[in-house]
Amino acid sequence: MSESKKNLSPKIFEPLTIVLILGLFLIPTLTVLNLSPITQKNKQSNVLGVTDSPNNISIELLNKDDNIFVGETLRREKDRDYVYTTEVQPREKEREYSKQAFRISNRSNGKQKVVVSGYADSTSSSHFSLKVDGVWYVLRDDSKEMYEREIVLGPNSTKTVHISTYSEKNILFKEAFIVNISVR
Amino acid sequence: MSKLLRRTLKVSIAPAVVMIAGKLLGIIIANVAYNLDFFIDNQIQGIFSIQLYYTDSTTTLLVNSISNLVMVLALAIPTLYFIIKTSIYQSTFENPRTIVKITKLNIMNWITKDDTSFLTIFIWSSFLLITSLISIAQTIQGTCYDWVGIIAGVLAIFGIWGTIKTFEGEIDKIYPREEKLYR
Repeated sequence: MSESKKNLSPKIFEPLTIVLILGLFLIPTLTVLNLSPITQKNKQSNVLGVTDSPNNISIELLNKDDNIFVGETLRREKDRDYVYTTEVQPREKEREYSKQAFRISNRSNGKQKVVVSGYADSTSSSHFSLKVDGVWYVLRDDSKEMYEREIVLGPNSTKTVHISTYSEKNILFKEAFIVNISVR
Repeated sequence: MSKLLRRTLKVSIAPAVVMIAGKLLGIIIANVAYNLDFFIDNQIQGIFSIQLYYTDSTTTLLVNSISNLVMVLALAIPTLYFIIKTSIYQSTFENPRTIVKITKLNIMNWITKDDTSFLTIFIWSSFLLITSLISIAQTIQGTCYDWVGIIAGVLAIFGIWGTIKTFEGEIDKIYPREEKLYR
């Protein structure tokens, strides 16, 4: 019995060793081939302009001059996710400030949904909203509550999105406002 | 498990590590020396999930060539060292002049023990051959400088020739040639 057990182990381990040896030749070869760089257009760059996504949605930063909303950026995080950021300057109470922020285009023949949500880096009681075709989408209210909103884009349509802020009190410091845009 | 398989497995680890490390080191050297910006992309298609890339073809060519050269040299230097060492060791049995020469060069420790086997040389040469073939294939594809491909080819030929010579030496130990015994 013990003799048969003794003879069995080489039968099991020898094929495994052969596979391991082959692996030691194959793995470095594949790794080296994978490490060989290629030439490709950079897809991950900071956009600041037009970005295309596979579902035919493009988002374009308008970059209009404004005294309140400055330093705007539009960054593509993944294929379907974008991040819009702006620095909101100090401002007077009970006054609404608004500007054209970005343009969303749907170049497909079907409806597309875009989900937006936003947050500020401050504890002020400012309202932040987006305005599309005269419809307000409140993203943050005076209780600092944040909301997720859905914008529906018709086939082959383009919508200009305004960013807007309002406060009951004077805001004496700069605030960063970030909008997450996700194409669904 | 057979002794040969165990030894093959043990000997194969070092050149496998040197091959990957050489390529990586070459990429790092090129990026640091020329202050290049590299990018990493996640690929869904193909067998590899991660791909290193550059935005212009000249940079890609430069980085790939330098990394291939470093990788080939990292494997070629130990392989040639093993081959030369073994050749000298075998030569000392036949030619007393060799002993005088190596004493003058102060490399007596090369012949004091036979610690480099044919198996070691064969495996290192195999890895050198693989890297050389990769470099030559990439040279043909136009993603590596011509001179890197030529150097890789020449080193591979030396590696193969050295392996054959070592094999002949080992065979002579078992079945000595008659003219060597009776001259």
